[in-house]
Parts: sequence; C-alpha cells; structure tokens
Amino acid sequence: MANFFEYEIKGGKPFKFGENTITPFAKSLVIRIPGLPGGLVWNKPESVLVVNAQGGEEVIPIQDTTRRIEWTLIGASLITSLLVWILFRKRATA
Amino acid sequence: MSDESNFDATEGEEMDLDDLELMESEQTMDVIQDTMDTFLETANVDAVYGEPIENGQTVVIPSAEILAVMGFGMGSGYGSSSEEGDENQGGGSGGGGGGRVLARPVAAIISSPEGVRVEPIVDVTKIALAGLTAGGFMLGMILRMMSPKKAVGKIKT
Repeated sequence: MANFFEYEIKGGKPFKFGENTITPFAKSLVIRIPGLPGGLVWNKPESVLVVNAQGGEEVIPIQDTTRRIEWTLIGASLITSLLVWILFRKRATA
Repeated sequence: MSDESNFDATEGEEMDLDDLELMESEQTMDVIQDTMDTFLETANVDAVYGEPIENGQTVVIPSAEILAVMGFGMGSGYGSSSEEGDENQGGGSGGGGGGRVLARPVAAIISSPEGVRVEPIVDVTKIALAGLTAGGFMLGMILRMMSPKKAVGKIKT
C-alpha cells in the first residue's frame, strides 16, 4: 500500500551549457487520503547543482521570495495584533 | 438450457445484476486509478522546471511551484420491488471527481558566460493582496481595541 505521506527531493535531467552542467533539484510532497481515491501533490524547486569544466561544484538554492514576503507580512500582522491586544488589555485592567 | 453460457432468464437475472454492479465498479475504479496514476506522475522534476530558452549565449530555465489537488467519489445501489409477484429490479451508480492545479513562477535560472545565477520572480499582486489583508487585520484589531463598545454599538445600529 502506498504511503499516506511522501516527501522527497529529486534530481532532474542535467543540462549542459558551455562549460557548465546544471542539474535541477525539486522537492515534492504527496499526500494521499487513506481508503479514498484522491490526494495532493505539491512540487517546488529546491536548488541547482552547477558543475564547471574544472569539476568544481556549486549548489545554488532557489528561494521563493514571494512566499517569504507573504509569510513575513502575515507574521508581522499577527505579532502586531497580539502586542496591541496585550497593551490594551493591560491598560484596561490597570 | 443445455448451453451454460446462455443467459438464464429467471435465476440468472439476480446474478447478472450483481455481476453488472461488480463490473461497473471495477471499470470505474480502473478509470479512477488511471487518473490517479497520471495525477501522481506530476510529482517529478520535469513538472517544476521548464524547457531551457536560449538567447545568444544566455540560457534561461524557468521554474515554478505546482500544487495539484484531486478527489473522487462514487456510489451505487440496486434494489427490487417489495411487492409479491413483482419481479422488477433496478439499480444505478454514479461517480464524480474534481481537481485543481495551481502553478506559480518562482525563479529563473540564468546561465551566461559570466556564470550561473538564480533570479527570483516576485509576484507583486500576491504580495499586495497579502499586505492589504495583513494591514486590514491590524487596523481592525487596533480600532477594536481602542473603542470596543463604540465598535459594537455601531455594528448593532
């Protein structure tokens, strides 16, 4: 029986451009509903491995800037709201 | 009847409905399984990275985040008349499914004679929407905390 939850990082087909060979890596999350036909697949780019002509390797991570900014805004709003609530609650009880 | 493969109109009818029910369920499950297999195949690297685009000595590989959700449901029912002497039988089955695939560009990998670099793709609309939501939430919270009775009074009127 297939796993309910699968998370893995897979490497793709390498591309050769000039002196560099680029191998992309992606992370995938698969969630299946036990006993029911259905599920969720979430794929995200993870990093690229760059191998140059001299054999030097460099891993360049791929950062999701949009998602990072979104979470920062959500986090900031929650923290601010919490601080406002604590501040006004103290003032009300004083 | 001498030939066993022929259909028996009396005893065979009930068996035939059961067989039909089983066959329909199996066929439906096969279709669902095939669709699920195709769906799960999207969990690979090729789905995330696009084909390289060459422009002179520069090559760009686009990358995207892909979220796919899918679900199925099916059911069937068979029955016969409860009245004596009435041999009417009937049944039916149905199924349905739905899904959604969301894709969003994340970054572009650029390979040029200077080297390889990753340029993020920023979705300004998404950020603006998140900012407006967060700002509205904070403003609402501050206003509510500053004058809770007034705010409740306004809502009531």
